Amino acid sequence: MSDPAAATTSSSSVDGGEPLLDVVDLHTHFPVRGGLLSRHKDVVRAVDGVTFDIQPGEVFGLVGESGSGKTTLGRTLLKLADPTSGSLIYQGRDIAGYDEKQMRPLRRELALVFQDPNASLNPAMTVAQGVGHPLLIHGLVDGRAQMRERVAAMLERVGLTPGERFLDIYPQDLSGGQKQRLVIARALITEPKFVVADEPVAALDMSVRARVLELMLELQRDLGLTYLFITHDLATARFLCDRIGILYLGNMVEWGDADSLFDDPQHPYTRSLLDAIPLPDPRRRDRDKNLPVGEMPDAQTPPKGCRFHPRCPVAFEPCGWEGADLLAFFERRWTVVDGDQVESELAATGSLQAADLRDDGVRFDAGNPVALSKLLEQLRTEQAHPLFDAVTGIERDGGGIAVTFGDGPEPDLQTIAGRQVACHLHGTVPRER
Amino acid sequence: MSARARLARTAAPFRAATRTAQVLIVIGVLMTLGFVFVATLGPTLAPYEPTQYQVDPEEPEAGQLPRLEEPSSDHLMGTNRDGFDVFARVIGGARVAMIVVLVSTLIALLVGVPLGLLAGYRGGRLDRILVTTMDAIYTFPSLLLAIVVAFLFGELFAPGVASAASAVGIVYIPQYFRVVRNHTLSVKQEPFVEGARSLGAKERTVITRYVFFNVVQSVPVIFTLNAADAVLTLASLGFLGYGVPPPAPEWGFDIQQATQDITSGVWWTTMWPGVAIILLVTGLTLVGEGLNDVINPLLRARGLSGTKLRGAPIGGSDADASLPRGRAKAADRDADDGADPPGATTSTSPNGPHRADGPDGPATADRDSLPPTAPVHSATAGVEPVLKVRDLRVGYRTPRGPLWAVDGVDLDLAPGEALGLVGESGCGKSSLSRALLNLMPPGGLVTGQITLAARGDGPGNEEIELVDASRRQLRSIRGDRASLVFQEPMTRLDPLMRVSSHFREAIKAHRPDLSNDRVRELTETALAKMGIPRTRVDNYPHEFSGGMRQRIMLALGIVLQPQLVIADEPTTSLDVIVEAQILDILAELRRDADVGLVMVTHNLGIVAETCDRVAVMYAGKIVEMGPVEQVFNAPAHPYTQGLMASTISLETTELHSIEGSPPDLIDPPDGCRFAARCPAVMDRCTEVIPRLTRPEDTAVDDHLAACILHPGADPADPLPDERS
Ligand code: SF4
Ligand code: SF4
Repeated sequence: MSDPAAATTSSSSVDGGEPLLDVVDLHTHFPVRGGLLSRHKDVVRAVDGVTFDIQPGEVFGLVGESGSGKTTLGRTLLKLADPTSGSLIYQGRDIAGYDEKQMRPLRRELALVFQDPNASLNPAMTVAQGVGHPLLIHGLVDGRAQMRERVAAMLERVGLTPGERFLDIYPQDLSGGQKQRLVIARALITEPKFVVADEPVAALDMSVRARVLELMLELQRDLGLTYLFITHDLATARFLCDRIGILYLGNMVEWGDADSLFDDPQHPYTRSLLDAIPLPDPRRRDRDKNLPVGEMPDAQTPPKGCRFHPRCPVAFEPCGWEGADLLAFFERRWTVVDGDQVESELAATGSLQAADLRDDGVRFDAGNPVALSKLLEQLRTEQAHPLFDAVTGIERDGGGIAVTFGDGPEPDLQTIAGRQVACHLHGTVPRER
Repeated sequence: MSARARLARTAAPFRAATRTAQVLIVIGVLMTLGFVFVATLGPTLAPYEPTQYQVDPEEPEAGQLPRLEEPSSDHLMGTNRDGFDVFARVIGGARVAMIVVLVSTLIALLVGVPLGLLAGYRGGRLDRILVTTMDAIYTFPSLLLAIVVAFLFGELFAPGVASAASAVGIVYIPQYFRVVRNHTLSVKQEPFVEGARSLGAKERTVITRYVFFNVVQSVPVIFTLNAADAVLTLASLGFLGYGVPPPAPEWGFDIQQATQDITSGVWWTTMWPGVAIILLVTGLTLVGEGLNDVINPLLRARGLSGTKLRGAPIGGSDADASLPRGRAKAADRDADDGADPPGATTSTSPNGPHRADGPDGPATADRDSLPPTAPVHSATAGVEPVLKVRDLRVGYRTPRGPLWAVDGVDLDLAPGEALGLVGESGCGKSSLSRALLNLMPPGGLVTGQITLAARGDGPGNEEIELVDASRRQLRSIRGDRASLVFQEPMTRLDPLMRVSSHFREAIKAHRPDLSNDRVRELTETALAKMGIPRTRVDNYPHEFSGGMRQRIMLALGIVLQPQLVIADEPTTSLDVIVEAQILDILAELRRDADVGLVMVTHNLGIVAETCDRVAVMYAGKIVEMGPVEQVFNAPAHPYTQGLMASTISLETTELHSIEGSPPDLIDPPDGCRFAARCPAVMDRCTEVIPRLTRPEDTAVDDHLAACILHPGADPADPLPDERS
């Protein structure tokens, strides 16, 4: 169990320190653009109600898979994407509503390091021009000579020595590791306070990664930086970060002290992530992996209730079951039962594509309503899947069968083991929207 | 960078081009320069004004010469029906053509480039309106458009060079617009543009310094390609009477005038302007095509080009044979590292096949000095391997000489065995895996032996030597007896084909006699094994998620029960949970079917989870090989040790890295290739090439390492077997 007294384990409300960045119920939605003639407007809820804080001088790890919204969240914190709602309090000021002009003076305090060093450097600028550009933008140097001097010094700081030798070459002439050092140099040259590093080593070879990570940690200590380290790699996150937040489909499902989170994950998704890591140890090959099924759905139509419920290995009745889950259940079932059974069940359900998803469940345009209602009742008695616990009705509806589900609230964050966890397993606390 | 270095850098792609291409570019440049010269100095070169009526010098008062004078020393190209000197008119025409090309380009540039930048950068409604408008202009027949504009401008202002140039220019606006817009769109996606915003740069700065500078590089190519076209358009306008009005010298108009006299045997009035047009157009086209070839790879290297290189990527028409395109991916770049413009020249280099070194040369030590019967490379001695690789070398031609990405590899794969091939970018693992099924890009070199064992009896199943196999033989093997699973499933599936059609095509190609019902059954079974229900079989690829698509690819790979599956980073683009699911499926697959699996990956964890044996590659060579448990628990080669130490796991408390970077494979170092980075290096290491031998403290026979820390690895030592 973690120690809640440790300074970094708990949120600002507990330790009372002034956070560098306080994020409250932050949303970033993007409209999905249709074609030229399409009037239909949908939104992707990339970040959908995230609350956490970043303490000065810490390394906060944001861990998630692709599609979790981690990159959008990072960009929103730097105001490179505009939040739809919520607040973003940076050193006491809510910058959520700031426009580009208001942001500009702040930009020198906020820096970004990208994943792909090849793409994050302008191929049309020399090293001196590219790394020194922020100095010119913010008027931090008098003239070119001084800029070159500052750039050279910074290059040496990130291990590109002697700095002068690199000034007039183009980034394309450097190796991956060197380029990433260049990106770091550019990010740090304005002496920022807060650095968002988006998968900074993912594109590098294993034997080079460690050196870049070491450099980042060293600079953090020496320059008193605060990092938001975005990654999909839990092992790196554990090594590097003081606190970690796990993001799933736009929601922070668990966040808190890094070590205790890894030693004793409280959210089923965190546990799944840990189970899934391929271990470089052949002796542990046959360990029990409790893998979630399927993949992360897209953020345009997130699942009801707990967003992880369609995949959660331990989901139960209140987790938010809905019509789509029943269809997915049949699809999965039909890959394992034998062919004749598939034929007869398919005859009963009719085409799944024709099934009508509704707010409270699903209506099958059943091929054989009698057989279908019998099949569904049987599956319910068998408890073939936890979703059947949430079924409230199986009824004739015209020529088809309508299945209705009970309510499944979205879990709110609660403090468990010194951490913030959003899961009904720890008691059902509905979240207010 | 000094001006010279800059020049050298720009010239590099030119030097990489083929000899013929170089000669053609030079000829084109000379021809074009010749015209520029003539056009600029025209009046001083020509003996007469182009609009000067020629009178007989001896009898000036007799008035004009008879028109249509044959070529003579006075009038090199003769005179035309107006009594003008044809030579003077051809020269004058060059000047008009040059002015029109320049002015029209300027117009097209000034309108097309800013609009393209704006549309691409801002996007939204403005973009859509501009694109629609430009497309409308573009689809309009260009000559017709030019005529309409020339006519309108002529009426509104005055017919003349300016009107003609505007008419020609407007035709090209959409082309500049389209290229610049598309380029802007792709550059805009580049993280460095967002990076510039994060630095606090103003929008104007972002557009100019970060976008424009990268986009503008494509302009010279369009310019030279369009210039040739512009010359023709101008001539056509003139020919039809809508161009530069007479008496100004203009080739098209002159030809039109002269056509009246062709029947009376007057050839010189049509021929000379015609020759001028052909020469100029040829010159400009040569330059344009040449620049396109030279600049495109340059842009591609910078990850900015949206245009394809000429030529198919690999092996001609095979659909499954294309290399992933685009920016080099994180996983493994070695296939790209050596790739070069198709048809590049090469010479037999000092790094040629090692056979040339002679039997005693150190270079051959790791292979030739092993006893011929030693079962060292096989996991299961006695069982006939499904795949046997001997002295395999895989290379690419580069301007600096051949690069051997794989340099002398021996491997055996037992039926049902899974072999992990690990190493970092550029170690040769991807080149090796591609060479195994002979999927090499043009210019790829493969020597050595790759033997695929017979699969039962029957025609088409016999043992086959893949290095010398014909294209037809290879096609019949790929997808049937052996298949390859790549990293990015979406690029391998045809978005317009249902999943079931992919299967039908793949199955029918190898089993044309199967009934449709049977094909359907095979498809459904293979997909169900991968967790894809039969209800989804007729969906299109885009209706599946990334993980599902990789399952589809796997199902396609195994549907005909191959002997061999080569998986090249099959899970690298997937998330950790989906990766784990796929790895489980792969493991299951191997338990059920007797398929030999070669798993290419940079991830040691994946090897530990799925493989029986592992081969560690470094700089084109296998440096260590053995059963997974053995190699992971007691790595014997310093590189393997370093790689394992630098892998970050949940238990990592301290970071390790390997200093330095891998050697240049075009000119590899002597001796052990890891010497420059090895913490245990000795003098002897740079003198001999260590051979794969069993480390003395290892428990199993088939654990091998190529490092002279282990007795027997030095080719001068006796082999361990001989020692005992
Ligand atoms: S609430 Fe908890 S148990 Fe329920 S689905 Fe979500 S993570 Fe699983
Ligand atoms: S042969 Fe020498 S340089 Fe090579 S790995 Fe062994 S000790 Fe290191």
